[in-house]
Amino acid sequence: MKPLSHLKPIAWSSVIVVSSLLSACGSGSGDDSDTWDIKFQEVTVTGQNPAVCTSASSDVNWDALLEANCQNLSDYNLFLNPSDPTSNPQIPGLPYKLNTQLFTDYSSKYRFVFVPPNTSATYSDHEVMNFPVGSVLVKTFNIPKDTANRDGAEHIIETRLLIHRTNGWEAVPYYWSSENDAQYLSYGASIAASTTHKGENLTFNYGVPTKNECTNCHTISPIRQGPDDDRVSIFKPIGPKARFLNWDYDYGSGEIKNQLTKWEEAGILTGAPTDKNTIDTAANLDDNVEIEALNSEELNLAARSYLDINCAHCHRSNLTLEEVNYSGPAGDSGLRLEFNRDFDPDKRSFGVCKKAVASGADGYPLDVIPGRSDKSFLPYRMNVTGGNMMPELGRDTIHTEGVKLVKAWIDNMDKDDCGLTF
Amino acid sequence: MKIINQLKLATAIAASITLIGCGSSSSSDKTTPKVDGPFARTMSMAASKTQAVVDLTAIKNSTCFNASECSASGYTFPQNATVVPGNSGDDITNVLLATINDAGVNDVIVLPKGTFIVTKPIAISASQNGLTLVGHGIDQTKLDFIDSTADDGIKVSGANDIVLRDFSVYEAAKNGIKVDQANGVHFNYVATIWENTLTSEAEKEGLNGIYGLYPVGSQNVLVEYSYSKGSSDAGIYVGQSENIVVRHNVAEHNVAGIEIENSANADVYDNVAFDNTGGLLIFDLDGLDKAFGSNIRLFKNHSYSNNLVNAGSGFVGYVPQGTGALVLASDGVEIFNNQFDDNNGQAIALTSYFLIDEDVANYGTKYAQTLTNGWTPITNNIYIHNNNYKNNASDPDQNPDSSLLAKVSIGYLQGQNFSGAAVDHPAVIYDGIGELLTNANLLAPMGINPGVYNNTMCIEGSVNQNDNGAKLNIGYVYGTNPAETHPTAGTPLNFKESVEGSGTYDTPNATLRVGQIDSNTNTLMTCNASPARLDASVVTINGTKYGCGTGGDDAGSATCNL
Repeated sequence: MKPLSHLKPIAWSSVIVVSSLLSACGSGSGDDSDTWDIKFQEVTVTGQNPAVCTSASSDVNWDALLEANCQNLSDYNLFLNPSDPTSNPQIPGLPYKLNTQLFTDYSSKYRFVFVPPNTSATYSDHEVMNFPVGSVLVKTFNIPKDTANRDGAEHIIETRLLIHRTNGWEAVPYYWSSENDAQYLSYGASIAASTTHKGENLTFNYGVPTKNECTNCHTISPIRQGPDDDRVSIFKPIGPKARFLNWDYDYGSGEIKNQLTKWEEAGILTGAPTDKNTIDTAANLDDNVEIEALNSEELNLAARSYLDINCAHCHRSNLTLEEVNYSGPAGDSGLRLEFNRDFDPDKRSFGVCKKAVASGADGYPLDVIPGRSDKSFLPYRMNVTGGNMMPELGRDTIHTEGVKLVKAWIDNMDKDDCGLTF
Repeated sequence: MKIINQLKLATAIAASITLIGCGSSSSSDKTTPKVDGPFARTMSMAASKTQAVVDLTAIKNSTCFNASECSASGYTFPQNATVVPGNSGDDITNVLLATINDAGVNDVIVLPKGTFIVTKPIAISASQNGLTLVGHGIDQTKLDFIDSTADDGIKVSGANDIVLRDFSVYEAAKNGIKVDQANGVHFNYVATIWENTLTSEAEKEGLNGIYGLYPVGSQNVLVEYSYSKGSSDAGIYVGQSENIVVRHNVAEHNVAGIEIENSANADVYDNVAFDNTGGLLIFDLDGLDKAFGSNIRLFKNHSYSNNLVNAGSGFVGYVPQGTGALVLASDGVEIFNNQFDDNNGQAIALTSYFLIDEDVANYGTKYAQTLTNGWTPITNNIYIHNNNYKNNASDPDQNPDSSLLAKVSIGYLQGQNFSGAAVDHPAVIYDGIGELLTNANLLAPMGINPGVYNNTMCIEGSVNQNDNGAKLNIGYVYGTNPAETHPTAGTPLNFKESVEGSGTYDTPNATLRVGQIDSNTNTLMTCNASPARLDASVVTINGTKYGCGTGGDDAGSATCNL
């Protein structure tokens, strides 16, 4: 992990910074620093800061993580440098990376897992690892100045904590209102932002989700079984599944290792197969993959991986969920895109020849028309912003590479006009 | 043995010309002056942010309302409520979202009085179980989402006993208020409004949102005294839910006014639907977790002048312009004591899924999973009685791109029908095809066996209020008796040869019958005996029961006793 080039050695302060004075442009990176300018925004800190948030120890503040939504991210002591959540986690934190990632306006993401000492997660074949109470997943979102140089200048936006508390997982979002520290922000924000992607300047409003919006994706909801079924939704992490972790990660100092193996060695994971080659693994995707160069099998794997991490947290129902009669928030759309759902016997779940239930657009009659991505509604919704876009939140730009991948997948299917004439 | 491939409705109708012989007289430019329905609108509704939406004068004059201690509908704000501050015109996004996101179980949040900008969606989760979000009145607290660029206005997910009342949502980017997989949601004096006039062009530009009030996948759903205007799908929609009461609402200028989809135990009464493309819709769509609906009653509604050009996409794009009520692929519906006026297409249409997908031979593979889950493409067990009809069917939709009945309407109006002459367009249309195929034992592979249609499609007690000279007709697209023969030729009437001269009558033949509902000589959808009435529904929220069902707040009322 690299240092943030724009960080300045300002003392920690609880003062909320009005940002126009402190631009984010890459003061350390030199080139074009005055043309790239994402501003910090003033926020109002809500809630209380109980005593547990103030720890004399420099260790991870496990008690605070379990009990309180502290006002400042630094209160939890998760990083050696409290102003840099992109590297150097406190013991026992470990960085991790997913081979295929959710698209969030071309932001760079820095993930860490913290499992309390002397406890461990248990392995799951298809679902998120079963993390013990006290575990924390930390994800920081930075916008790079140029996506071609993600190690270069970037602006820090937000750090999201998913904490496994005694009564379940909880989202605790932090917004970086200055480069010094992030504040607990339940009500979200909209940040005027820009980046250069493949030579093109993209401007957009980056949406920091509200605390409840986190649940729009991170939840499974009961498929109601009757008038007395008063179960409620269950909050879940999305990323740390075997299929996204089962690949080699560069831990630095020459240590390149399978992440599941590393977790086992660190004592935070048990029950994984000894032979990691037996694990169904997602594709290793980034925006530089040449889609035209993929063979049919690779294309299928890439598209299914992409649809899984970008869509299937909502577009899922039952299948390998341990909780009986639960679905993702869009399970009731009839479109289900889980990586581990068999395609051939269940094509309609993937939208093949299926009409969208709750939306539509003129000229795009069915979700997926094999061989006709130009008429398919699914990639259409990925290719717009606004009221008709998918995913519903988390982006204000179009993921060109993702659209291209999914269209290629549709065009690579055996042609079927689904009874329509064009 | 007949082997059904595609129905080919268009060719079937065309073929009936040659079978019976015909002239054609176009009556598509026939116009009828509009006549106001006999019902006064039960609420004084207008879509303007500045005009009163609901007339609640009595309560607004109360001391309580003037002291801001209760809402215009009489809900008293509790002492422990959290009051969101704001002066009309303010952007209250941050304070409102902070209040909601930090709210706990059973909290009451009071929205301020006035019109307010909200720039982000309001998400409500199970952390706010039991939440009451209340404004000062449906026309007193207006949340304007015009600057919110994506997603719903309000979205509730996986929570129980949520009460939303006394406010309105304007110009949401996607859906107005979506409630997903809840148990217990009460919409009370809530409006969702897109002020832009709904047109195809506006829909393409995204100027109108998708659904207005949108509970889905839920149990115990109560929508009352609410209002929806301008949605490009359904204004008031309840989908994949059970135990539902929708009453005293107004839906106008949507594609679908009020729609109940894949839902069970729903009572829809005392509503007004006008100026939509279709007023009242009951659908069963394939491929959903809740595979099919049942036990749905539409009664004492006023559905009139639903003649808006269909600007919708998706399933709702099939709804013929000018439809009072449409039942699609549903089983177990009772439609009674409603008033249908000035719906230029048909007051009531009863259709199977075969009008959407004619590819009968491939249902077994295409819909395998959903058929296993109990969904069927047919419409059955429909009891229609004691409805009033006035001046419907005067100018039906003949555009095949926007109406699943266009070819049928063309057939009736241009004489491509049983009689070979133009007839008054039926006010009630039944496609009959599901029944014909069932009776011919052609749907057994789908698990639909002969015998399921046994006095189960019935219309009676119809009141003809036409004063435009038109007959009150019912139409069958397909005859339902596979053994019926042509009166002179003696060949099968309801099937024809796919290969002319082959002697194999293997393709359904659309004959477009017509009968006068209010005549005792009518033979279509007649009742040998009145079918059993459907059960009343009841909704339980926070321990209180609502509706006509046992223990419900309306049980025993004149409306519930109809």
